[in-house]
Amino acid sequence: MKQAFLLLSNKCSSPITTLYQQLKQATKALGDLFLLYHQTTAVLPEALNGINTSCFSDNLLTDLHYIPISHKLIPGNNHFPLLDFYRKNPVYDFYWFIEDDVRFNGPWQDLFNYFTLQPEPPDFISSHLRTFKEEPSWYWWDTLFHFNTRIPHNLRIRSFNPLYRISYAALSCIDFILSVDKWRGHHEVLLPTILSLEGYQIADFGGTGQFVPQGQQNKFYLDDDPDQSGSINTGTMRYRPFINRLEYAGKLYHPVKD
Amino acid sequence: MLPENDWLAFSFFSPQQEWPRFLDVLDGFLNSGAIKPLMAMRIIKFSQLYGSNIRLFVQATAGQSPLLLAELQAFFANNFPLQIIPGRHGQTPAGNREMLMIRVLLSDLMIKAFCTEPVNDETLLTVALYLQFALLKDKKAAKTILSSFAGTAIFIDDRFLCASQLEEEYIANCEFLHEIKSHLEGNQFAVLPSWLPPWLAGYEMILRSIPEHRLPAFCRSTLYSVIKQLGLSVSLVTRLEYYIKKSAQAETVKN
Repeated sequence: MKQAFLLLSNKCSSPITTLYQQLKQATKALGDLFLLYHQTTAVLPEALNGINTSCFSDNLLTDLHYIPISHKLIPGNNHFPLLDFYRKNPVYDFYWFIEDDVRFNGPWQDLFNYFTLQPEPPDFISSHLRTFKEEPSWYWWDTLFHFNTRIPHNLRIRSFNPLYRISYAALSCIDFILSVDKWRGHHEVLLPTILSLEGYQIADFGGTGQFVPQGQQNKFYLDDDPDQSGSINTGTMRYRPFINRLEYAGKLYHPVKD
Repeated sequence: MLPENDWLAFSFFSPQQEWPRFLDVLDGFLNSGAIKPLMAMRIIKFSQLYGSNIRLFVQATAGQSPLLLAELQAFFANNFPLQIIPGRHGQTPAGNREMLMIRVLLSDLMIKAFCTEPVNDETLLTVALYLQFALLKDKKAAKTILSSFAGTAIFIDDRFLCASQLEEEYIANCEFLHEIKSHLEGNQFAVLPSWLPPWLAGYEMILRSIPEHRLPAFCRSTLYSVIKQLGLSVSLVTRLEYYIKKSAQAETVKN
C-alpha cells in the first residue's frame, strides 16, 4: 500500500518543523511525507530547505476549475490543495491530510499503522461523522450545492476534517464531481456525503456515533454525543476552544496551541 | 496508481424529445449478437449539465475494450454523428459492487420506461415515485429511510417552488400516490408498469445481501442513485421528498 502523508501549513516555524520531523520518523516505513505549504510570498522561506515541500498558492481557487464556496481557502475550500496534490501525484493508494494544529499524544506510527494494516480499509476516515438529523443546525449543510439538482438533507453527512485519510478512488470520484459535475460545498459536508452516497465506505477514527466501526468507540479521540448545533466544543478533536494540555495518551487533539 | 477502469464513456446531446428514439436504437444495438459478448454492463444517466444529454458508461468484458470501443464509435458515427462526444474517463460509475448493480438495474429500468414514453417532468416524477415507494416495501429499509426524515423539515428553495403550490400539488396527487402504494404493497404486478417488476426482483435480491450494519448507507445511496441517474431537477427532488414524507405521515396518522 503506497501512502502520501500531507502536512498542511502556511508556516515554517519551529513547532511545524518539529511536527514535520516527528511525522517523518513515523512515516518512513509507510510512505512519503510532504509539507503541503501554502505559499503567500514570492520567495520560499529558508527554513523549508531540507523539507520535502509541495507548494500551492491562492491561485488554486481558480486553477483547478472547481467552484469554491468563498474567495479564500479557509473556510471550506482547503480540500483544494489535497486534490491539486492528488492530480499532480496520482500514484498513491491513500492520502493522509494533516492540519498543522493537530497533535497525537503518542507515537504517530501507532495511529498510521492501525489504519494501514486494516484488511478492508475505508475510503474515507475522519472524525465526528454525523447525519443531518443528528446535527440539523450545523452551519455548513447548505453549502453542498448544485445549480440544477440537489441532495435531500436527510441524505447528508458531515465530518470534522483537521485530519483525514482518503483513498485514490475516493479522490478520483470527488475530482470528477467537482470538475465535471460542478458540485460545490464545504469539504466537511461534501466529502462524507458524496463519498457515502456514491458507495464508498466512510468511517470515524473513534469518538462516538453510528459511523464508528465496532470496537473503535473513542479509540483515537474522545467525543461527546451529537448535539443539535454541531459546533463541536468538547472532546479532544474539536473546533474550539484551543487545547493547551494533551491529557490522554494515544488520542488525537485539535486545535493545539503551541 | 491507476484504477482498474475498463469503462467507456459517451455523452449523447440532444433535446429530450429525441431521447426515447436514442434509447430504443441504443438498446437494440447493445443487445445485438455482435455486441452482447463484448459488453459486461451498461449504465445510463440523464443530465442537463452543459445541455440536455444522456451519459452512457459501458464496461467491456475482459480484453474486449478496444473492439467494443470501435464498434460503439462506428455505431454512433452511423446513427448520431453530430450528437455524441466521448465522456471523461477516470471514474468508474460506483464505489462498491452493490451500488454498481443498483445502477445497472436502474439503467435497464430507464431504458425500458423511456424508450416508448416521452421524457419530461411528469414522467420522470412518476418513475421516481414508483421507485421511492418500491424502496419502502421492505420493512427494514422503510424504517431506515423514514426515520431519517422524521423530525426534519424539508428544505424548499422558493426560487423553484413555493410551499403552497407544493401542498396543492400533493393534494391533487394524493389518490395517485395511494394507488401506487397499494399496488406495490399488494404485489399487483398486473397493474404495475411493466418496467417495475424486474427492478423489484433485482433490488430485493441485492437488499437481502446487505448486512444490517450497512443498510442505512445502502438505502441512502439507492435514494441518491434514483435522483442522480434520472437527473432530477431541484423542483422534482423537492416534490419527491415532499410527497414521500407527506404520504408517510398520512400513513402514520391512519395507523
